[in-house]
Amino acid sequence: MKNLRLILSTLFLVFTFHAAHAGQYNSIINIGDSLPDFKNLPSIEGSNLSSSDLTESVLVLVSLANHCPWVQGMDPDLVELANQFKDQDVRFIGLSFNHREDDQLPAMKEHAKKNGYTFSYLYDESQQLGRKLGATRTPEYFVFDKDRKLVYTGLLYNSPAKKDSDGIKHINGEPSEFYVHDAIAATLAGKPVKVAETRAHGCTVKYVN
Amino acid sequence: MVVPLNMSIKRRLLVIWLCLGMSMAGSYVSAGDDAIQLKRISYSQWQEKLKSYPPDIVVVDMWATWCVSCIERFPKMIELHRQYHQQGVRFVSMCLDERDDQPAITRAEKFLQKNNAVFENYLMDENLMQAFEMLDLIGIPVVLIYDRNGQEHFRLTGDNPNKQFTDKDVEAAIQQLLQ
Repeated sequence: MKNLRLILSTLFLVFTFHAAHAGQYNSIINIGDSLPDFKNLPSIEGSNLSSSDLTESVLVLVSLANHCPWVQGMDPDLVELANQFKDQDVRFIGLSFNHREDDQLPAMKEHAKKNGYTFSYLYDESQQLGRKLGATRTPEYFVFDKDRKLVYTGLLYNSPAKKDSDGIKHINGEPSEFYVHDAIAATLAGKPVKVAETRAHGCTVKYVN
Repeated sequence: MVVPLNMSIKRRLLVIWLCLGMSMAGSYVSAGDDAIQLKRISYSQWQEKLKSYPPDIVVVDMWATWCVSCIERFPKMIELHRQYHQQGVRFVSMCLDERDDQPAITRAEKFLQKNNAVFENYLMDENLMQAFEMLDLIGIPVVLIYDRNGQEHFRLTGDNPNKQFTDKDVEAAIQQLLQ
């Protein structure tokens, strides 16, 4: 009986901590919230994409900005991650929200080609999707399950990388916890995501007032 | 500089050259001494430092060389400093480049020098991710404004897409605390 009480109280504490943690770093969207609808966002492929077009079991959205050294520093790992899941029912979509010329569609096409993006990269010029996601940093990840509920948001992994004239450097050495990878794998397996939210690190998305 | 009248022309010229040389050497040393350098500060030292500021109002600009928005809006900070520093408003910059990234630190110091940031300029001497956690920052730029009692009165951030701060907000906050 004592053991049962201990287990129940531990579970309660774990649940409470987890619940308090959700939404900690995002002022708009929380774990469990639905994917905001979006319509006809132009992609680098020349076509438009809407949320209703997406049928995959797992959807990974990532806010990007071509000019951002943190995006550039983690581009190779984003491409590698997308390739790891290319034969599974997972859809990766990059999003650009800034109005700077070097973050707009023509520059996005160049950036995607140069960095070997194998996924759609959409320009949300109205910034409506960005606002509904509460996307304020680049890169910042949002993983949705089959029911299009948010199961993970935050960092790619636990050691963000920045690119500058000296090359690419991680803050904490080689990454050892792969949050987005693990969230995708758990969701594909129908399991809960262990780490549902982390403090994304990167450049700030600039919204038009 | 006064050269005695009874000296020969050659000696007078020599004295003038020597004085000019010393003066130039002096100004070179002075320029080096005046060069803006980031002062490393740990999180706990920063907390102590904040306690020393009252009764001044303190405006803290959290920035980094990798943050384009920070770089773009920094000149406004200089402008506000010029406008308000004689009214008991102290300006402080806190650089959030990686503490062991010497090229970035050098770039930061050159940037501050170029912008004539003649106020306290610190480099957060903590692991970068931990610094964001300790300072409870989601992203930068962020401007923190402390009142005359040392309390954080305004936290101006870009964390909410619908309420990102502008330069006008910084000035309005300063004016509110000055009233």
